[in-house]
Amino acid sequence: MPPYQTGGEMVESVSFFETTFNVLPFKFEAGTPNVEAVLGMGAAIKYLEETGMESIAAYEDDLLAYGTKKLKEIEGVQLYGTACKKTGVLSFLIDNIHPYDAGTIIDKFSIAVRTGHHCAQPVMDRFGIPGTIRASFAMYNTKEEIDQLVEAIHQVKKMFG
Amino acid sequence: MTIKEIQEQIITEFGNFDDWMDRYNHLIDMGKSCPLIDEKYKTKSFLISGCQSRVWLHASMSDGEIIFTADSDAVITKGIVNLLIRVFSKQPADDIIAADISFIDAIGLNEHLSPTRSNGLMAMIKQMKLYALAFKTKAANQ
Repeated sequence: MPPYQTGGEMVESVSFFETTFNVLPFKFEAGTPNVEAVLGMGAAIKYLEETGMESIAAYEDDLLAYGTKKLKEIEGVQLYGTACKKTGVLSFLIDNIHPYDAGTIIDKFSIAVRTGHHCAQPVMDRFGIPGTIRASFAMYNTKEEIDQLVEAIHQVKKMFG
Repeated sequence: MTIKEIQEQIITEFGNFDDWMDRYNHLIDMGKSCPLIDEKYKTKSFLISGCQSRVWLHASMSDGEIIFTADSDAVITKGIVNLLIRVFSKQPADDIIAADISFIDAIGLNEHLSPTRSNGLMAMIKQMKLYALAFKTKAANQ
């Protein structure tokens, strides 16, 4: 297989007549390796292990349960995807408001959500919807932030109602 | 009014609002008064590609002016399309083709749009200019 890219350390010898490439894996690793990413990845794994994967999972489950309960309390909010062992995401729609419209306003409240079909058009077709708004919860999120999301949803309802 | 004058009018209009919520409420209101496309044109061939929400745009020519109608399933998008229609509709093709669209930056619309959404907006402007060019070419060949 020929190299897809040329650069430092991937060449063994070069002459006007012939070029030979380094042995594997160097042949395919031209230039300076992504050193900072490797070190960053290591630090991230260390951090996660120190914190404890189980406690992180428990915290995220707690956030998800809180978010699900809070969103269900809002009239007109429809949740999509309610599997019992799902990860920390909430996909939803508010009344008949287009997810793009809702997302634009939620964004103005400094809350980052994703809107659209999330590259899962067949699922959207199954539900007969153009897309959803999706909030994700991770270990660095808080219940206060979920409360802010709830506030933003109420504002969306007011603006498009 | 010329395209330039209409843009200035829109800039003044949006200048009256202090915060983003009023600006968006105005945009939502504009969405409600968009000159709607005839239902029969709400087909794939009138869809503008590159928009996150669906946008249909139709153009016709009458007395040397291009008339635009449109619709979208998202209200804010519809408001943005309506602003463009206000600027471009009932204008001569040459003016549309040559127009420099400055009001979008001036009313701070662009800074609030993500790259995907900004691309959608650019796609709308491009499509309107393409329609103008097509009608101009058609008229010249007649």
